[in-house]
Amino acid sequence: MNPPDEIDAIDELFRQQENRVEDDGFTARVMEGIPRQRRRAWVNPVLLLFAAGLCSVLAAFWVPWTNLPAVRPADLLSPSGAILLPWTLAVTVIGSLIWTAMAAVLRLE
Amino acid sequence: MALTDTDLVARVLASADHGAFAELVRRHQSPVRAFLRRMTGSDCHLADDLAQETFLKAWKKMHTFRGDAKLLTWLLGIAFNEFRGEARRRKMDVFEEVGDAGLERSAGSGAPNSNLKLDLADALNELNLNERGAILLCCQNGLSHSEAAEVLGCPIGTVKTNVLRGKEKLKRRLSV
Repeated sequence: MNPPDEIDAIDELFRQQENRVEDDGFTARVMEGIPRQRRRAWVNPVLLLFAAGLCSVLAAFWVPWTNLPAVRPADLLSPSGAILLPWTLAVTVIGSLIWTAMAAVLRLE
Repeated sequence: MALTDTDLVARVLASADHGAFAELVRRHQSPVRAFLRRMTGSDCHLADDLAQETFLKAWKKMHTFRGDAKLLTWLLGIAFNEFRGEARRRKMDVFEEVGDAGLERSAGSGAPNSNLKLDLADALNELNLNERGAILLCCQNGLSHSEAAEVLGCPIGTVKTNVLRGKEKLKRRLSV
């Protein structure tokens, strides 16, 4: 607040004035101007799931599901692209599907 | 127990709660509209249009409210910017310095204290934009100089100067 020594005739004059403005429907007019949620709550998660599903199908097309190479501990120590690449792709596809499903469920809640 | 402004702002941010925002508008519409009415020279329609625009902007920009100032101070800052933009669009003369001669001329006419409400409104209209804003924020709305500086977007020293100069002009105009 301003220091007390500045309370003078002008401050007093403002204090005497009635500055209250009645609402008179102002709040209602403001609220009418506020945009409603454009989308329903379920639209975004469904779109997310659809996009993720489509991408996963495309990615899964490149994973040799029936012919995944066996992985031995030694392969992890000396990584070979021929072995690790298909597995990485497969794990990524499954992981992203699970993550997307969880995200969609959480958003729907 | 009534929710604080901070609680209501949190609700608006978390879930775009229209009810919480309506409560904030109800709480703060009076000082914002009163400030704009004085700034516009008692043009109630223009002031209410600007106030409406102020609250719509507040809704859109609520995420930028840092919470280190009072919500009303933040709202008055938006309101002042709205007014300043409108003043520029309309090429209002409010940025011009009003000469002392003009004030003294007006001061000589009529009984000084016969109708203080009208006199004060007239006298305020004769102050320039910066003086009027500073006087209204500090004297009418009770903001500190630093809060007024935040609203007006200028240094605190400028606010103090404008308040002093504005008061001197009002005193001469109103003979108080």
